[in-house]
Amino acid sequence: MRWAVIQFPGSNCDQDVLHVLQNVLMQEAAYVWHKATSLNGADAVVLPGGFSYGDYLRCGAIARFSPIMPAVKKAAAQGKTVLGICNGFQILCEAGLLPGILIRNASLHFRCEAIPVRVEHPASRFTRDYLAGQVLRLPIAHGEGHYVADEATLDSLFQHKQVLFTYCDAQGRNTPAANPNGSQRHIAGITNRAGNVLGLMPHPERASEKILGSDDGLGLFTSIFASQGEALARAG
Amino acid sequence: MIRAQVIVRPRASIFDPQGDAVQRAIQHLGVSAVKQAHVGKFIELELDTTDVKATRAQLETICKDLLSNPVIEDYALTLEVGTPTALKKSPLPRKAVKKAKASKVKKGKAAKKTKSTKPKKVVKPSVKTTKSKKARKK
Repeated sequence: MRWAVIQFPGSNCDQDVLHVLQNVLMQEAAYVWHKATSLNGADAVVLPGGFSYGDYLRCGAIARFSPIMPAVKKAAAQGKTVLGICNGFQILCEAGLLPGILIRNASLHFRCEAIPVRVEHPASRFTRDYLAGQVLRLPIAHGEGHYVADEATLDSLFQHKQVLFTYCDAQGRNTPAANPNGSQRHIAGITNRAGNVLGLMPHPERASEKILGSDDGLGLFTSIFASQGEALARAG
Repeated sequence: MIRAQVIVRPRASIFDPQGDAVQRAIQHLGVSAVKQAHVGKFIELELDTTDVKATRAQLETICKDLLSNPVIEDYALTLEVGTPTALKKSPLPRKAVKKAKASKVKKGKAAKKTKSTKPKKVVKPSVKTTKSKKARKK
């Protein structure tokens, strides 16, 4: 499976993602500069975390107009896997590939810590290697992770099982104290309706090696290529 | 040339964490009458054209696509035509300021706001501009 990791000016988790894909998961992965217009035939695209364009105007507001974005949108429309982590999630929202938007944390604090995150649905291409209700320990590092959307959009997201991850306490309960940024309905990660585009604030790539504290995030990547293998087998 | 000014405001229905923090800070400083604060953005653009109609159409698109996000923000766009020197003389044109204030009064609930803006309008505008100029130089 071929992966493209987009580098925007200000991306800073691109190397982490590429390291996990290449050295931990032995995947074929390469950087794609934001000025490129082609993903070089990649099956999956990662928009990594960071502060693209200095977060000027709004997080992701300028990156969404990068020359590579039409190719990302095309890949999304073709049903290819698109994964936006942290700033990548913000870019996907600004680009209209995911509904809603991420605003300043309700506490105004930049939160940088490992927190419990609950898997809502294991029946997706991003979560099939997890269990329903499984509590993962994943790092977050953001000042603008407060997910907002109108009530109808939120209802629709839950109704169509697009909410894959929520913030919870260690026992898996969505308590207000366990919400690190004020996100509506504790939303930590959502997909588009088709289920091939995921945006999430926690960093699975920073939790992919036991020696670095946790490998709870690895399942997200393994789920993607397990799904891809199945799709290829079906097509073949 | 044309000078365009864009005011981007958080939507009333969306919680504004910055506005909330600013409001609380003001209360801490003893001005307890301030019940709400909204923090937005002020963007000024200088254009080398005099075609107001075309510019407005183009900038409306820019405001919707880039300068604001309609999910969480509203914007107000004002255009002003003039020679570069004339526009430079008035860094904050009265028209635009008045318009912005007028729209705020319309949206805002408190009648107090209207009262507070009235005496300011009576004050000689020339005094206002020189003041703001000095402030900018500092």
